[in-house]
Amino acid sequence: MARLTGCFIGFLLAAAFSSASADENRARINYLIHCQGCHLPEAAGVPGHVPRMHGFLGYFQHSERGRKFIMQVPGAATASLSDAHLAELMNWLLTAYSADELPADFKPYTKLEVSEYRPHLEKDPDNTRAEILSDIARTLPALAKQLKVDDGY
Amino acid sequence: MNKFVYGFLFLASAALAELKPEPLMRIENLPEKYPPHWIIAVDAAFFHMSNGKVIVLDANSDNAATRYKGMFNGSFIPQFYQGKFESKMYIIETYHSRGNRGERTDVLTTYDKANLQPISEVILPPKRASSMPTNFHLQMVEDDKFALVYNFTPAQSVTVVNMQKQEVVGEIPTPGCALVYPMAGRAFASLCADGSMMSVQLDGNGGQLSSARTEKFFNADTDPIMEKAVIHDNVAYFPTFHGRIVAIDLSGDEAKPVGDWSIVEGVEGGWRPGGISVITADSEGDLYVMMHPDGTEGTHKYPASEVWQIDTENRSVRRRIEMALPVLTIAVTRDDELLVGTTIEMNIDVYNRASGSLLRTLSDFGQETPFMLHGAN
Ligand code: HEC
Repeated sequence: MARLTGCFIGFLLAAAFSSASADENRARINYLIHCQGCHLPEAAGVPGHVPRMHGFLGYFQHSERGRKFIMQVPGAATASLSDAHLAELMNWLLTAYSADELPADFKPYTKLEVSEYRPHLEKDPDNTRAEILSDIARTLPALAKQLKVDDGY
Repeated sequence: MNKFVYGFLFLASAALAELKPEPLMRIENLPEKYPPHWIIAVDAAFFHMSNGKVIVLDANSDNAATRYKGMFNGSFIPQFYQGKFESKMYIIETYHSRGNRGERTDVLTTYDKANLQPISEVILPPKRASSMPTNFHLQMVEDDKFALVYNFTPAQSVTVVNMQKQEVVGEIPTPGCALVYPMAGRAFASLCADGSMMSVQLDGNGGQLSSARTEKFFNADTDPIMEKAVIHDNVAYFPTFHGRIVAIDLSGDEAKPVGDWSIVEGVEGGWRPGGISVITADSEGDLYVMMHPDGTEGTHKYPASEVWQIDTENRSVRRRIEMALPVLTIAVTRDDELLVGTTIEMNIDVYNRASGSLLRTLSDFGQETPFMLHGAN
């Protein structure tokens, strides 16, 4: 039995290292614990109160300021997560729920990058968000139409 | 049928003729300045929240009938503030057009202390935080000129109300920071999830003049600070989950941490702070902290079997007062004579503060869950 269990754990470890699934599970669990209470399952958001990340979050990657912003909103920046785990969580959110909105050259966050952005907590999320999105809309007219629909979350 | 009714009326009026008529509609006012032993119980009506009440009681009276002074209602866990200068009490409350659903209206209602009647209402943006009562959901600054209402939608912000004009004058975002802790002058502080505190200075119109952040002074993972605090002489004292007291000076332009110390170090029994109101102070500035033994992760709302009196100058425990029955919330009357606490049976036990002896239990005053108590100003 003990040997069997050992085998089983070995198998799990092998599975974890051979694919990204363990990290993905951890990201998913961290989302459940730290974000889902407000952002709801499937990152659906609450109209008028909490932005929908599903099918939207990726847009922010079209702007340098946007890339920082989503690490500086209070829910993300003050989460009780290490920089590495927050990077992992955000990368998962972006690819799992908003891959279609990502730019072709999207680079995942590193923990170092998160540690740089995170201490500068966003002071006025609504206005900064509106500015970032209108900048993106101006510089990338192709995206503008889609963005308008979701502007006010 | 008709005959029967007439017969009945005839009998009734014959009986009434023998009774002396009592004067009806005798409405008495309460004193504008409540006597020192009166207390105010804020009852959240936890099991049917749209029927909260604010009840005025004489905690020094053994007469169950006359110690009840009156009440007014407060809908959906009212948050309460007692005027410091005028004979008024204030609540923020929430109504829905169909009772428990429909269009939401939040309102800041002013009550006259003498007749417990509403004097005025300010309609608020419908976003006040709906949560268990604390003393820091509704506060006032600059001699009660500006009211501050804590919002959670779940974006966090503070609505500013000019009380003289009775109008909403602004909304200040407090991203990542909760509740309103009044500062000296025209300013407030909020407690932030990253372990810091934010201070906001208001301009004369109630808009934001400036804002600042302290360094991080607590760690929400290792020893979280409780949002429950007491403010004495412009210093806020926050208990932590593990039994430290953290002092924040609110007298300057910015909130400033001015030290912290453990009240449980070297004490056997695993004592920790806990409960609903958790901490209060007397007029000399001694703190009273609600404590329970065998504390561990998750016991921070446990009722207190002891109240510890803390000397803030020497940072020492002056005294441990045993509760006859554990309490959920406490208050000290303004003359420091009585210590009152809502027990786990939802009655109010009245102690002599100095001797720690139980004087009486206030029960059957129409209460259900009187989660917050206040000594009358
Ligand atoms: C207490 C509720 C709450 C929690 C918990 C929370 N958020 Fe948020 N989040 C919000 C609100 C509200 C906003 C809108 C901006 C603001 O006012 O803070 C937001 C905005 C965001 C945004 C910006 C999206 C946009 O379109 O503007 C991101 C990204 C985000 N949150 C990520 C997270 C992550 C990741 C977590 C968990 C680690 C998290 N949030 C936890 C409430 C929350």
